[in-house]
Amino acid sequence: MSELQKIFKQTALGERPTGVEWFDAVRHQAVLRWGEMELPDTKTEEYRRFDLKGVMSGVTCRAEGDCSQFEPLDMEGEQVRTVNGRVVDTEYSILSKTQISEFDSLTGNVASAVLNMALAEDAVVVCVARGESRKVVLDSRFAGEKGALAVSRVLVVVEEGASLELSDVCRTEGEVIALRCREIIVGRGANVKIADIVENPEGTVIDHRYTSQAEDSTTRALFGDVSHGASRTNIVTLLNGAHAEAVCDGVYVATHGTRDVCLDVQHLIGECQSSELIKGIASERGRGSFAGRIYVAQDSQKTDASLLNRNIVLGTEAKIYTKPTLEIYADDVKCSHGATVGQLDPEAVYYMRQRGLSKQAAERLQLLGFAAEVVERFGGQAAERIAAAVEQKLQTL
Amino acid sequence: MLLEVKNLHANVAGKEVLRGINFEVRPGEVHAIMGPNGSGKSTFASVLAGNPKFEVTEGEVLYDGVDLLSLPIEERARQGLFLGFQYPVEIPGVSMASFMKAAVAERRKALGLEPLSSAEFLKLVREKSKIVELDGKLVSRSVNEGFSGGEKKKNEIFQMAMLEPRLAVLDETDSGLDIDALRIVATGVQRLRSPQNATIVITHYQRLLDYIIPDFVHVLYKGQIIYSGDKSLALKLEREGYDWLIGSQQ
Repeated sequence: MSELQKIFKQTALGERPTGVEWFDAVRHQAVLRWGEMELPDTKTEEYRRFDLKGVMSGVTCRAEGDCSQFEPLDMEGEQVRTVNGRVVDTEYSILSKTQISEFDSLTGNVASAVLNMALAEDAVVVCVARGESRKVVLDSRFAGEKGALAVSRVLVVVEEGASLELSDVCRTEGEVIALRCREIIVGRGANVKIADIVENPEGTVIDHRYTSQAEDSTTRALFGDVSHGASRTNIVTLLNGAHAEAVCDGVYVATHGTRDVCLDVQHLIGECQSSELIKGIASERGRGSFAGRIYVAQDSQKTDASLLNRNIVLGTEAKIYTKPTLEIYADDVKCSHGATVGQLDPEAVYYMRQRGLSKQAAERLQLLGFAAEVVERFGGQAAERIAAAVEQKLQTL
Repeated sequence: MLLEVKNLHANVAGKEVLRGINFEVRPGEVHAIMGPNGSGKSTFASVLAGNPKFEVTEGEVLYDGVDLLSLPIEERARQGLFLGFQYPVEIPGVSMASFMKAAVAERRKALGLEPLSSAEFLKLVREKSKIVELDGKLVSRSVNEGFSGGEKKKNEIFQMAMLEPRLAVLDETDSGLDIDALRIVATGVQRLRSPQNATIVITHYQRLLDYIIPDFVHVLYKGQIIYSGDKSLALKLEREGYDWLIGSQQ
């Protein structure tokens, strides 16, 4: 029996109950759903470059690392700290709540998300009440040695007409594996801004972000991944109500390991808008992979959706894979998708050198400029943090 | 002597484009280089700037007594060699302000000066943008992105004003400009003249030289300077074309 199975058994058999009955019952349901499920590998998953099964088979124990060495985040908003998935600011912990019907309602049968639910021992809950406006900073810390697994779960519910600015900063210490899952439920006419920042130096991050939007709601999301280790980002947006609008952008810099971004935007009803722009930079032995899909359900007419993945690949060893797709079951829609993979523009580098910038400075400025488009489109403190992190990362190239 | 070009030969993609240029510039002088299309004018400018597309096969260029061809592109720029591009490059996402701030800092460093503070830099931007009537808003935009043809050329001269070069090489700065923009750009260049610096103006039209009065006019043909004269040569070329010169070459 693998170590992961042992950990799974401990949880599943109720050897580590949380004592909160309804939460344990949800976990148990996940255990049943898991049943004969298996994590996919790169052969069984379509167009994925991150070997989920392989990574998870390296799990040897639960992460129990100390996270006190992380600097507090210098960001404005209510701070919610988690350590290896455990909620430090306990007023936000699911263990302090009575049953929440929305919990674990979006992930369906995605094996890694089901596994996350089965293994979770705590969860952050942020509920923004009707008409309220809040700014929340999630300080997600993970620490552990090679093979240690940390499981974190977040539920965000933004009620009708409310607004939320959510910044989630994920930091790791050591070669920990962070298995994360977040559900964001956006009510009618609500407004949400979500920034995800991954700054792990060595760890592996497997992230799931599910967003469900009701009518007239808007979400604007940006992820920035400058991690050194490997990461898998699954982003699913479900547009369930008419006139919902979603913008989902991202930027990553891969110098080592694999950045695997899987984006799925589902127009489940007509008259919604979505726009995604993901920018990737791969250098040295970095590998970037993007698989994106816009799905337009039967008769979701007047859908307006665009999906674009743009990449710069540096050097001869870095690799970029990209596959944007459209799946449309309606006939009156405006949808576009595209991908570009290019190199630095030598003319621009020459132009900047002719003004006195070194080749390296010119290249860096151009890469920063490449990333700037998505960062500026988002704006605010989280965008500034992402821009600074990208700049810092580019200094190392 | 600020610039001495001796028997300069250069190739692009294996084809010889410059075939023995000899040329001298003293501080304070303005030289105009004219010539039919394809004669090597832009190549000459690019070779001086160090464009890697061109390969120098023979000859020597001394800039202030230093072997210019041995210097990397950025070092030439830091030492005060400026190229006004015929086709300024658009650089999406890179703001003019951050680009120019880095460029000015490098130029000042080469001159042994401290970098400017943000306030000093902004003051300099305001001052210099007036020289070419450049809309201040353009400085906060990405380099040349979405600029009109006229704005791009004004922006070149604005950068020249910011960097205060010792030798400016302006490659067809007048192409694509309407009459008003031409006047503004050319007057700007004229205002930047000083006894210490020099300018090489590459142009097809005498019109530009009404504003930037050259001390010398040279005709480049098939990679060589075949004739040199004073300002009156430009007027004669405007009237009579190049046939009388080219004819004597053949």
